[in-house]
Amino acid sequence: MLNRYRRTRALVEEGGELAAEMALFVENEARRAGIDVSVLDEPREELVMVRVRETAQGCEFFLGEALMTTCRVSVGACTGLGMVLGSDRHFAQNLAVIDAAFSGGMGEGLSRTWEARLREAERGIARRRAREQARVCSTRVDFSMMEAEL
Amino acid sequence: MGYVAVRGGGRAIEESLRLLEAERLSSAADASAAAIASTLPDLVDQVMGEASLFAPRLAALALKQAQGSPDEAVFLLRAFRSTLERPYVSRVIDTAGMYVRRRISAAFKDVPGGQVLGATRDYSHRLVNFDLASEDAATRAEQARALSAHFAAAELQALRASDEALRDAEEEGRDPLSSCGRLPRALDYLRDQGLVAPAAPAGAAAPPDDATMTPLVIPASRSMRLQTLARGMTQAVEALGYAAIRGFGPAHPTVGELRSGLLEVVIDRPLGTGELADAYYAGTVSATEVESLFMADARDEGEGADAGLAFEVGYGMVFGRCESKAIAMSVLDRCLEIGDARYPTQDEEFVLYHVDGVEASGFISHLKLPHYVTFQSKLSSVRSTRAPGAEPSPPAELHSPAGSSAHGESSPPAEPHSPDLPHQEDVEGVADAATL
Repeated sequence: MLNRYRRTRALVEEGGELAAEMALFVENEARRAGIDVSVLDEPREELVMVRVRETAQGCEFFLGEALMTTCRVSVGACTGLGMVLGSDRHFAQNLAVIDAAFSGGMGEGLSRTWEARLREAERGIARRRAREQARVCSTRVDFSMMEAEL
Repeated sequence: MGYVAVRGGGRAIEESLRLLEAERLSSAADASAAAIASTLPDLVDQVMGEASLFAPRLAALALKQAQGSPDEAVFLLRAFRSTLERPYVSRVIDTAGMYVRRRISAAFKDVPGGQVLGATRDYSHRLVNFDLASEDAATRAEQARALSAHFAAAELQALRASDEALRDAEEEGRDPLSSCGRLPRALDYLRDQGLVAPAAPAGAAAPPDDATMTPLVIPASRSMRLQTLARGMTQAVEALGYAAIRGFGPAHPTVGELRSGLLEVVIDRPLGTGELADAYYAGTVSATEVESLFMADARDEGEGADAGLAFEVGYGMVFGRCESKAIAMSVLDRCLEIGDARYPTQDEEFVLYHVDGVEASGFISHLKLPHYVTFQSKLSSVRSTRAPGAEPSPPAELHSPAGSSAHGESSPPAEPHSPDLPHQEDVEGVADAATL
């Protein structure tokens, strides 16, 4: 089962469609099982301070803040948090629903159903980055010695 | 001299704002925030960096509202961020994990991973491209197709290699994205040879100060310095960095490494384990990092004796692709580490108090506002010196931070670097506010 970091990375980088599909699935499953899905904190814009470790002396400093949208949701007795940079409220809420579901009893079943899709999303990100890196790496300088002029 | 309250400007101000909006709407052409974000990414980066807020769409919207004025857009973003809560601080970012889109070194030709130019204008001819004047959607699409075809072969090869790497990673249970786009550091070679002092190990650093929460106090901590420079006005940081190289600071630096790309913003789960595996991935921010090298005397760690020459590193980092600002920041970082008060670029108060865009443009901008009373005072002073037989008198007491004697004939002139000078301005600012 993918850990929280890899799961949220796959969902955030995928762009939101997979999160919407998964959240809808969770809500339908919860309704069938009579589990309550409640929004504890409505999606809202907040800030996260970006903390960096510089390389000259190893000192930590704050580079600046980033705008993000967060949401807190409960699925049954479990609480989930959704966080995504930017201002997409639906995305944040979908992430929170998924997080709550994975934190509780539905987690194992969800994992069986969605693990393959999440791993496929990871592969998609890797392939997208590979294509981008191919372009970037084409700008790598190929030094060659010039012949001495006599 | 007393103050007289006056009114009457309210309606004029309202009409002025209407006129501003009318002028904005008078043009048939319009640019959406999305169009600004995609067509002017460098300007958006500059605004985000100076606002100290990574929010590309919002920065583009602020630029639209500000009609292209970066100062105004930065002010809008700073004002907006002050309305939001900030409950989270990211996990500490190690820039070795940057997803690199560009990495160069001016110090070494053969750096590990190579010199990767990325998308840059560094080697372009600075000639206006008049073809852009007649560019339309069809020509853009055609050019995009041609460029895609140009890169297609390299992409196909990379995809094959990526698929193999993915299979290997899955078989070995590794994170398939952990090494994608990573490059080793150019300066590790010098660190390995002891020519550059190693950075303190992770976790050994003191908690950073925060310029958004605590006022700048001189002497400033290193974290406060770096944050203040990172959010400094781009042109101010570049101008002071240039001055430092021209003779008002240490000698010409060498850019050991400049890297630009994406950094992951990861947030620990509240009351969680504190491990990466339990944390939330929120997205990425684009940033540029610079390590500049300066020659300096090395000191033996034990006895403090002269140990020959070595290199010191100046550090710069900014949001986005503001490379010149990042390089200038690395120069100023080194200047402020040296701290030789003979040079203004090494004077913390001079550099850090004056690079902030909102502070600088705000103070300069306030000079446009009514100063009727203070100017009447100055006018009286000037007129009094023109009266037959009159002795020159000092300006009005209103401008004196410590009573009239501060500007009296017997007072010694202020030293060029006197710390009192900025305070004198502050008092005038307060007086101006009182006048208003």
